[in-house]
Amino acid sequence: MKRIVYLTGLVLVLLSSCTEYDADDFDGKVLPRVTGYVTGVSNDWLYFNLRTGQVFNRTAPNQDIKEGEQLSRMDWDLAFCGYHLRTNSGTSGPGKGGAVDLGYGNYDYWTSKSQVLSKTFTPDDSTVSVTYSQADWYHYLVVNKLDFDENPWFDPNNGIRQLCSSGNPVLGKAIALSGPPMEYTPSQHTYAVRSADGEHYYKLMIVSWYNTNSEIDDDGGQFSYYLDELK
Amino acid sequence: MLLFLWATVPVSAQTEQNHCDSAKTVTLMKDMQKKTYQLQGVTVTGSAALRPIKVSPVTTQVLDGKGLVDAGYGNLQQALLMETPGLNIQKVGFGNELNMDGLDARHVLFLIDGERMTGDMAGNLDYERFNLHAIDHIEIIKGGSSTLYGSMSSGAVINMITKKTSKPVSLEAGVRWGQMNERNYRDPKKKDFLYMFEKDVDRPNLQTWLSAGLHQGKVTSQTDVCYSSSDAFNLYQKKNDTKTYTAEANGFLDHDVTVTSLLPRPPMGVEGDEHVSMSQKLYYEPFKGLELQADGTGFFMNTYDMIQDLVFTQSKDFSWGTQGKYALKNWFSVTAGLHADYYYRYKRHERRDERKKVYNSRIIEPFFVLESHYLRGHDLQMGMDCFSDRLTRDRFVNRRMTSRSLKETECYLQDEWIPSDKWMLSLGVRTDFSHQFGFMWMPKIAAKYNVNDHVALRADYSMGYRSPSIKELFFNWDHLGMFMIKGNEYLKPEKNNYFSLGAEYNRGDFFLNGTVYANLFRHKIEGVWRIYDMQYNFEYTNLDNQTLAGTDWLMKWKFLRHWLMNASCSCVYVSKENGLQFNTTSPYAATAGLAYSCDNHRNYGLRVNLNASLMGEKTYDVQDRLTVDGISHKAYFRCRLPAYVLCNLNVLQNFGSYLKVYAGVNNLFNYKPKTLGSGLTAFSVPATAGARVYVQMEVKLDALFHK
Repeated sequence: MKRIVYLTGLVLVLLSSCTEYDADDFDGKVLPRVTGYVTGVSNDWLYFNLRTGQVFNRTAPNQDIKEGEQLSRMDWDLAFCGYHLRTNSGTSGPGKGGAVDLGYGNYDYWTSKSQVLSKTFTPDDSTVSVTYSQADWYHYLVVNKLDFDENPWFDPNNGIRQLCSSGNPVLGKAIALSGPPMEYTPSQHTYAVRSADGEHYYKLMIVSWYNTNSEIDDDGGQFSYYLDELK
Repeated sequence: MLLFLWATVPVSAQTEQNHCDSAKTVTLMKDMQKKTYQLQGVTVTGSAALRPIKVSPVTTQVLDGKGLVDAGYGNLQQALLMETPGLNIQKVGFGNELNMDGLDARHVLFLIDGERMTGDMAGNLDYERFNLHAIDHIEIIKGGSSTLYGSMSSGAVINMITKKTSKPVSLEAGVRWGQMNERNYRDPKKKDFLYMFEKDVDRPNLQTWLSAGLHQGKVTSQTDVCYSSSDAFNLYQKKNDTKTYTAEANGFLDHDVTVTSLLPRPPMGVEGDEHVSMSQKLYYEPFKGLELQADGTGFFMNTYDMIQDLVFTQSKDFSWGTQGKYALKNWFSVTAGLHADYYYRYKRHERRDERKKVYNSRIIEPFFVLESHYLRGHDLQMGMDCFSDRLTRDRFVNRRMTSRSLKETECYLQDEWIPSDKWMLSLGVRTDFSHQFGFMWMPKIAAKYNVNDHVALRADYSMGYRSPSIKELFFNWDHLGMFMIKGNEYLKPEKNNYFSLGAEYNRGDFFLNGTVYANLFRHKIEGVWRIYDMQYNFEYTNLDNQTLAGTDWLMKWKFLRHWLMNASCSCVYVSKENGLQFNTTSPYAATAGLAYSCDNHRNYGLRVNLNASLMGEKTYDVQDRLTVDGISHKAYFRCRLPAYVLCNLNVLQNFGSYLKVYAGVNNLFNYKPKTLGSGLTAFSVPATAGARVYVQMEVKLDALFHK
């Protein structure tokens, strides 16, 4: 009988299930605000000057750098709009920016710019589309005299309408979108980003579409990432 | 498969578990009773009047729980998928999805010992709640059974009868290990942002269970506990999505148009989980004629999807029930009881110890049954259920947790009459009253005629109904401004008329059963996409008529002493709507099994099972929009999913009466779906990662210690 009791106890211990929170605290960065179509502006870009730490459009869209003005400015290096990113290069700006994919994970491996100098950095181009905001889409329908019900902003089979824009095609793969329901899946790749002046290099890894400190059921967009300079 | 019995009654029970001798060993109980009682070691669904198989009018498929375990199935979903033709049940994307002969989970009623459960999503329960090792047998009644079982049973009833020990002491334990579906992360580190996520989606495929029974004098106790975990995985599609818009379905086209997506198809996640289910039942018979029963269950589950959204789903369920039955000679018996089920679902954070309740439902169901066998040749029965359902969700009003409820009172009356040895008639009527839907009544009539000792014919008519669910009535959820899901408070209950004709041949070791049926629906409730207010709205509505018709066949043949072969097939026709087929079912499906068993050697037995499940090609139309020459049109694309076969191989070795060792392969021929379907059609592909091996061990501890 004792053996049965012991065995039963053992099985019950095995059966017990608990959730253990033993992950290290997150020591990366979080975007200061949500960007992109949910703010009502399709081209809602949040610009960073990685060399000085300055942030443009920090609290509202087009506050400091209006869409189009980025084309002639050298005081920004990296920009975010929804799950799209820009570097100051190619069709996005006059700088010598660009990005290169360093592969899955291994963020800590990349410590020096000498490790990435020989790599080919891809400049921005116009193959990137951003998500239309509802307001901009309805404005488009009015201008083009199109029917609202025949041209819904969102389509269950095709997602939300897209607007051609400018962005970095390599960083465009940093977060994959699928759905509906919408799923934003970071690639967990490390990327190297070159500054507008072509002199500084940074490593970037987006780890979550969500703010790690936000409440459960948050819609996301204020994503969590690691960003450090490669000296 | 070995345990596959087609008993020809709406309800049946087995006093012996000899599955090689199909119908002969089955002791059958009479028709038309909802509640399940466990009496003196014999599981009885329905009233206690035993009937020979020949005089039972409705076809019932009976799967033996022990046999399903012996055949190597790891859980109920797999067992039903492989053993029931036309039934598709799996986890794809976000949650369970069931389809049976063209009807979804809202038309298939799952019961445990005759009791309903709450906590469904579009009719789909957490099927993990069912512990396969606690099941004595499963009864599957296809067709309209609302007269017996009430709402939601217009397609089928799947009633799981749980074990009750008849031994003074019984104690069994087991463990099962299965190969992982997919290893997504190797060596997760605590520094990783997704550390918890990485660990959770790669849980081992592990199961362990314990079953303990005690039968001493007037008291019987049965305890069952099961822990299980499984890993999450992705399904992949190599080619980009293509959609074909046919000229037939789209009047604005003069030829078929195929559009290929520019983007690759993202992988489709299949959830993993970790769960514990527990049940405790107590029976007490203070004196002859009085039987008392109390039971309770608990279920806890964490569901881990492949979505990196910092949360996972946690659910728990508690149920309890009590009932008493008093019988006075054979004049009459009275049964009264109460059943309650409480279900909770939470979102739990993956990095902080926080959770948020998003779903809470409960049902409370008092019931009363009066039955009499006093009149010669008649079994009379009447009963009453009061059904109270309450759902609290954040999707009724502005994302705030809000409650909605429904109350229904149901009564039924039935008579089973055996006028002669060749005939049996069954007549019944059920009424339903609720403030929401008013008064309804549903009749049923069934007959069986025995042509001779080997051939029998059956005919059945029943009217069924399904009340709109709380979700269908009250849902009101805006998905980030993209689309709305809207309930409709003006929905009417859907009705159906079910007709069937059947024939059965049974001689020696050969058994054949065939049924043709038609299930005619009126006011069927479906969700449809409509565009207004400048957006898509998924709205529940009563559609026009829909017809489902088909045939089910089952064959069982024991040959050459050690071999058993069985096969079943199901063909179904679903009527189109305006020339379009929206139903995602396949017109044909089949299962087959071949088993070899050998117990010649002393203290050693061998059993080998090869089972196969075929799902035919699926073709259906999906609502979409297509822009031609700058004009956006409402359009339909045709989705074609190929036929597929899943095969399982299991080898079971018995050592003495106390040890069983299993080894096997699921999806033996490594079938992987090549297409996941376009757009919103993802639920129709088999959620399999390919061939996976498993091993399992089961010990009868009472026999071991006795030895």
